[in-house]
Amino acid sequence: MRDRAAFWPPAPAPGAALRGDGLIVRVLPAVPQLMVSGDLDAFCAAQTLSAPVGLLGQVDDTRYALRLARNRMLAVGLTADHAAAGWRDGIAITPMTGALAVLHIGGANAMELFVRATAIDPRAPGPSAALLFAGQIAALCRDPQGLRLHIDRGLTAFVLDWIAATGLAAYSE
Amino acid sequence: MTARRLPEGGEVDRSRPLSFTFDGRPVQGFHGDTLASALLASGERVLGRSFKYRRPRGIWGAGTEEPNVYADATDGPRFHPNLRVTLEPARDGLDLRSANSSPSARADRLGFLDLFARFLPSAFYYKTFFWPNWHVYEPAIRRMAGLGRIKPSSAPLPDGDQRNHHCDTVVVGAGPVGIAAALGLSRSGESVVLVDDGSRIGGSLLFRSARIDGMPGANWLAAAEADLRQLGVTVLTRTTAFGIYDHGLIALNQRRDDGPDRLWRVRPRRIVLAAGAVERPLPFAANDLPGVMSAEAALGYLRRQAVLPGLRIVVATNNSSTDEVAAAMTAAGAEVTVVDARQGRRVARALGRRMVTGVVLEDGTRIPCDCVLVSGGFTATVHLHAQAKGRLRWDDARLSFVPEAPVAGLVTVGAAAGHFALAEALAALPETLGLPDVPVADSAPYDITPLWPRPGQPGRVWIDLQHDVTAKDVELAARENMVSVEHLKRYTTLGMATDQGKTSNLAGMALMGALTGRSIPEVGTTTYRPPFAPVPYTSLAGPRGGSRMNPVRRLACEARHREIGASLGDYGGWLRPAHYGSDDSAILAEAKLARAAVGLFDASPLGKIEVIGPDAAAFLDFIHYNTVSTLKPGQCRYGFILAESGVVYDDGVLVRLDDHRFVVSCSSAHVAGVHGLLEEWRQDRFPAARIAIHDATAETATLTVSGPKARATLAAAGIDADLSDTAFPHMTTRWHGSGEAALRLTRVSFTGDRSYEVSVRQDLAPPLWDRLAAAARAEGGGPIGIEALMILRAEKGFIVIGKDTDGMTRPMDLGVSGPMKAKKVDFLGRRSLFTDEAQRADRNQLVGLLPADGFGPLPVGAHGIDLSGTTPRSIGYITSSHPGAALDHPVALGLIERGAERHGQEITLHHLGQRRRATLCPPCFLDPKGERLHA
Repeated sequence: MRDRAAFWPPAPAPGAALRGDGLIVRVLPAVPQLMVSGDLDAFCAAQTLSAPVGLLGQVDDTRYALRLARNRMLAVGLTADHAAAGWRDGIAITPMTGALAVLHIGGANAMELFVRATAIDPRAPGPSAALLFAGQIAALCRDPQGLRLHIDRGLTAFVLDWIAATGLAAYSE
Repeated sequence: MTARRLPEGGEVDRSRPLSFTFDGRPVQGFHGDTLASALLASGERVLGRSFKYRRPRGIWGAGTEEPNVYADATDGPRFHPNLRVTLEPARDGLDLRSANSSPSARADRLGFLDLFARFLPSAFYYKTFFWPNWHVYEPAIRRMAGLGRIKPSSAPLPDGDQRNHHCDTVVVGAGPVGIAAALGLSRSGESVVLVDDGSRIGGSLLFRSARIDGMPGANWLAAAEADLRQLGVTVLTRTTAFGIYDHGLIALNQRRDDGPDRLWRVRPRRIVLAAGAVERPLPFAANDLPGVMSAEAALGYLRRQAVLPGLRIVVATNNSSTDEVAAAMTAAGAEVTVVDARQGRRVARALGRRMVTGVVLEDGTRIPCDCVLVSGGFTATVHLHAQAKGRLRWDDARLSFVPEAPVAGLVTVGAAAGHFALAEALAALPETLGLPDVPVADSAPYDITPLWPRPGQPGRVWIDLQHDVTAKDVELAARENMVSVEHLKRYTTLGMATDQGKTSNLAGMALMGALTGRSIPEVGTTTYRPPFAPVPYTSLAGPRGGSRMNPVRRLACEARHREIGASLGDYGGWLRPAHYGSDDSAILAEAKLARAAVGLFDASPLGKIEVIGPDAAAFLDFIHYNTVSTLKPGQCRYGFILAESGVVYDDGVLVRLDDHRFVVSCSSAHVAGVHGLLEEWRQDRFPAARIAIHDATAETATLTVSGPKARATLAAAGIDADLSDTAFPHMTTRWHGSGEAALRLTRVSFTGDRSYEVSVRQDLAPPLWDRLAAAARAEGGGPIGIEALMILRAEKGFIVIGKDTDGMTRPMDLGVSGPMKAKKVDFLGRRSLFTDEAQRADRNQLVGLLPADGFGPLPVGAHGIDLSGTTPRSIGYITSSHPGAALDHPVALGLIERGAERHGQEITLHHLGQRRRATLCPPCFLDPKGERLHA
């Protein structure tokens, strides 16, 4: 069998970071997240959560929601036991803390990375926070320090490698 | 051609000399030179060889239209094939090699081919190389063909750079009209990107005299540059707009001095095409000799790089644009003779063998010279307009195709719209772009008389310089009825070279028109397609080269797998351990270990799509071949999902977590497909408010413990759940623990042995792996890779969809007919199962196969053959084959015609010219009663 271990560079360790001129990309420690479908307003009201934001929407807290579709959002900063998740009063809930890594993209050149990674017009980003980032499905919003990218944890290594390949930032110890 | 550098003038910085080599010979130049201008100034004459006849060639143009001279460049450790010398700045230390010659352009060893030119007309290879077959000749011809050579030993080029951009308007072409448009639009409040493929903006103002708004063109340009900066216009020089795509996307390739090429994907609201026009050659015999060059280009070299192309110059023309050329060459010290078709004087042929030494006019006059500057008129650069599906019309006064009308989101202005005189071009801007205030220029009107190649013209008159298409080739095409412009292109290769016929297409059409009694517009144009000019692959790939082209997902425990020497492979979009250790013999050893004791397998990619809601059970009853709604919470059931055709799309275990929550555990590689299928049918038939589908595959890592010591391993790993068969029977699931580290334990088996799937939040998996691995080793087992799992499942006759099934396999072919007959509710694919095709008695059915000839494992892909007829007939094939782990013989699975009723029969297999014998048997080779599940 052909061993492809050498072809694929080892996945970076948890907590890996990239630094460049005006750009810092960090993988945050596991961020509590729930996938929520159904009556989003009712869920937000029950959880005292602000209304979900769209792409590049501004969030000012560690508790926020990203709208993914008309009736689907990612609730961030909330947890639910795997066993207790499921259908609750017209709302479907699935934990996503393990599924989605959160990359924080900070620095003055954060938007420079954005225009490399996606074809979306930052002046008209749309009501869904979902996007293709470096060709992969993800969700993105702004926080006071930069951008927060929620992406399939299994693709974190690729996204970091892709960012490094743009030359905007390099791995740092 | 005795070109030389003038002692003063031009943009070059004489205080900054540079040098590089061309075909091994040193070339001197200055900063501000292009490679082409430095080569011209150094006196190099033969700079390239033609594609087919290997004729000596010199520089023709000064931009993207250059058909003759390409060079491979070695720049330190890096190698750049097919550099366009007219667009690249000269650089110190570069090692240039002419692209289509060996060992050099000056002394090409295949130069003799031109002696046989009469035997090598268009399409000669179609007529010549057919005995015994084309492939005998193909390698040698392919070696001779093409431009440039890849040098595998050179350092890889850096990854290309890509960025997206949004703006109101992209202006393509930064000549005076493009600049005026950019200024006007920017002043009206639009965000503007101005693009030009030259090293500076200015276009013709950089080398032609003009007066704009009452000031010299150079002064107007300087003021305009300052205004552009002040207005914040994004100016991209050395950037070629090479394609227009759907939804107004325009692609730009920017050549950068400080890094790799950058691909700009710009989505403007409007594109203003001010791309100018390309000068055409004139048709006379031997018009391809070095020293015959574009008059416009020569004026550029003179004014910009102070290179005088010759001392005795003939200016051959049919239009007014050369008036300034002749005057400028004379002022620079050349002896100039003008041969103007508007005055009835035409060149009949050029003289010389390796460079032009004179011309003979049609009246017999001989004029000695060392350079012929020609202008056959201008062809508007309408490529992007045509790519955007814009229509063209023929302009008889200007002798060019021009845009008939704007297309949505694209406006053409300036010379690209056929306005070849600057004053006329600027004057059209207010109407075209709605700009109230545009500059005013003084310029002479453009005047031209037709001068196209004529049928029967004596000598070898080149139409397409790069692909060596002559007037006689076009005549041959007409004789052979290749009269459609598309046939003409393909038969002669006219316009198919890297220059895409920028200088040649119109002349070819004109000649074909004359030969067939049609006008040029009646002949028509070929289809314009991107790219307008060659684009490096590195630019198109951007950062997605190498391992980033098709990324795999990474397991949470990848570092653990690497630490213990996993051999990793790409499986269904995930990087997974094939086996541990570099030796393939580990595969069987791991399988035996799992059969004897316990194997620990990372099954994290297994699909885990949650279907949630009050209608989830009814929905899954429709989706699944098997009945689902009868499952109790905590139970699991194996089943199929069919496509509408009734073909098995996927299989897997369905888990019911509670009344309203199911987990569809589909194949690892089919997660995206199954997710899409579920969403599609949910949206088609079920209310969104009562069903939600969440792909939670990535949420949990799943570690499978399988083997007789599986239960003991879990206990030893500290999982203190009641694992007794009564409390935790086969095909059930349960939660263990609470909080973020809660485990979901599921008793299902893909090996036939007692097995437990342990699922935990993905980021918490590595410590769990450590505990389970240590416990497994303590029980005499250890980690196993996916290849060992393949052996274990094959021994049990468990299938892998897409491997043991194909695009024809229905569930009945796999021995599962019950739901088709008994299921009460409708389900996906049901109707297709009752078609004649699905009910055929001679369908291929899943069987086991055992070698009956005493040899080793049967080859995968071997076809069973029926030898009863006159020729062998396939009766199916082997889909999986492995050595035995718990068995002392190899096993194989296959899809064989009427297989289910032929157990015990021997069949003949055919594979790669060899025959084998095999006995058909039930697909389950091991423990058919399932006792090992409870061992």
